[in-house]
Amino acid sequence: MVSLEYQETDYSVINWGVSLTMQTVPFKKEPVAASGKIVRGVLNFGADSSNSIPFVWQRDAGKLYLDLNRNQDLTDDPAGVFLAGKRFTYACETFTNVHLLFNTASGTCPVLVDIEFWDYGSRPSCNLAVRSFWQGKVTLPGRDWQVGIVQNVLSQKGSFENSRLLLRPWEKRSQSFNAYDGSLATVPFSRKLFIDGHACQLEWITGSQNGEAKPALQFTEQSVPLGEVKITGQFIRRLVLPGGPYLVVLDQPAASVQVPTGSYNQPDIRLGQNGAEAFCQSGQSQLGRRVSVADKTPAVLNVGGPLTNSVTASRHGRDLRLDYRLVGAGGETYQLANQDRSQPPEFAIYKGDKKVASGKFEFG
Amino acid sequence: MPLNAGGKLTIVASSGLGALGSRDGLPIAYNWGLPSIAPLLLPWLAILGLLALKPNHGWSAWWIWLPLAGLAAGWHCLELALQSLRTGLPEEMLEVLLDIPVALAFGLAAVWLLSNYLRQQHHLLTFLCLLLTLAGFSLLVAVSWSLMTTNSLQVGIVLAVGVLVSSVALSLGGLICRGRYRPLGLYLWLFILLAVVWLVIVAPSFLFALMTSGGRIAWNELFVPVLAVATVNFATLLPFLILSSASPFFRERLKALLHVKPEVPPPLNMPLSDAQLKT
Repeated sequence: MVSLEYQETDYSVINWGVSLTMQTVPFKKEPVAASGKIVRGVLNFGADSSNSIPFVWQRDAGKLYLDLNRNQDLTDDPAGVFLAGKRFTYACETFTNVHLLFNTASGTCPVLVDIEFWDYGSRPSCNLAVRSFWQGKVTLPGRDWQVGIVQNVLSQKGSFENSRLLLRPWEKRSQSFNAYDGSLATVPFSRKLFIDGHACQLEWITGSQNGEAKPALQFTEQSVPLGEVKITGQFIRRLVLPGGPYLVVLDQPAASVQVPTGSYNQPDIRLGQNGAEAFCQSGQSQLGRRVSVADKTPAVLNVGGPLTNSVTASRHGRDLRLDYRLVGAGGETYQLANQDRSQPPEFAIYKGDKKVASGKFEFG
Repeated sequence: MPLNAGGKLTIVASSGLGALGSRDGLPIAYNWGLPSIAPLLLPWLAILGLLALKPNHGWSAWWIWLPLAGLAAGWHCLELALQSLRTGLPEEMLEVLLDIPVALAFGLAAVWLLSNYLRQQHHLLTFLCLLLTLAGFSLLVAVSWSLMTTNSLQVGIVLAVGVLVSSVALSLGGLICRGRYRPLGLYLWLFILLAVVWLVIVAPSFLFALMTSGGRIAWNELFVPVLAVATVNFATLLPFLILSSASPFFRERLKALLHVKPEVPPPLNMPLSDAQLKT
């Protein structure tokens, strides 16, 4: 069993859009009104209204008041007053280092966030950049791993069904990550996990100490029938096979690997070689194409590097439209990690040996 | 695509991939047939067709090519200049934005050539005829030059508003200057009217944005773009106004269109009657 410790970071590990319920009627007690626009309402975290937080945003003054004890009195929360850090010409303000407490079935659970308020258009909106997660160390035969939970603050009370599972070699624990940066450091939380050649049953245990949640993860190794998968591509740092009997995570897989038999969705892939990195997130787009792994016949996964700059051309009236894709060994689409947008891919058009046109692709 | 690029083309995409792959991708072949020149010529042929109408017989009407060709060439040069300056605007969008005034210019040329037919007894009817002609010919250019294939809605809205503003400004200019045709006064009034009508059209959406932002938008974000658009609109109209000043043929056309009263001939020096002499 791995006890998880609360960890704060100086980078965001996941971002959420929070629904706002606006109101014009003042709360029971409010701070002294500042000049300019006042936005008041409630931050809603999922369907559980006991976690909702009333707020008053004095937009022009760049101040945010949070009713952290949720008693409709916004004057008795000394830790709930924040000054905007970043301000733009228009109404967008960021309030950093906001410590929130959420009620879960096993006690209160802290979350560190940066809150960003926008006031464009007809109604304000709010984004949360979460800067905390729960982490611990698990030793599977032969290797130490950092495991953790990036909690979904918008989920049902105490539920971790929609959380992300952090899973990376222990020596990489100091590197920054984000749940959706293509690094695949996190995967969707799954009770059945196949990692590094080990099939595990994963249980979420929610203990409590002094009213505070003390989460833990229990890994129970299992024995499952395995089948062979041949991987044709190169440079694979991590390959994740979702949608099967186990969530399969393969780090730097060999050309032939063993995984639990069953049917899987197309993989998410992280490539890396000499500092250059790219990722492919199949997502929902290729749900129809399943990967079947049987115990007798090897399955072939035609994915990975080398990557190829690819262009398709089509006519649109007087225009020749060119579409760019970065494709892998099996035609899957990749995106360069840390892409420099000032250096987009280029094209050149030749008629015979003579270059007749050239230019740069535009993102979008 | 350049006009000399018809035939079999080879296209290569390239981007630095580090150790993950080669910089240059695999070349693809594409057989590019040169686009038909007919849609490009259609607006010009339409103007040529209008010159065949009976009221336009005679070489005086052919002066209409001067402002039209001048505007088409001028905007094309501006487009090339802006492309080389790398304004950051996508080339496709720049091309569309700069073709809108040219589409409007074709509409104006048609109005100038059809003004005998457009003038009606009532100002309102004349305005409607002017509006429909301007809209019809501008739309013909937009459709045949494929301006509507990209960003159709935006191009359609900008062109429609440009047509409406130009028609309203010309009609109001006619009302203001109906007593006497004074070219410079008319130019000035038309510029003012274009700016005012654009302002009236744009102001509601600006005021809405201003209210929702809590007053954080500076007023110059309304006035500067309105002034710029009105200037572009006026620059499109001006060559046709100058033509009307320079050519007696088109001067009469414009005066008829704007309902300017014909000038009263100076009284002749007649000998006074006996009755007048007695008083």
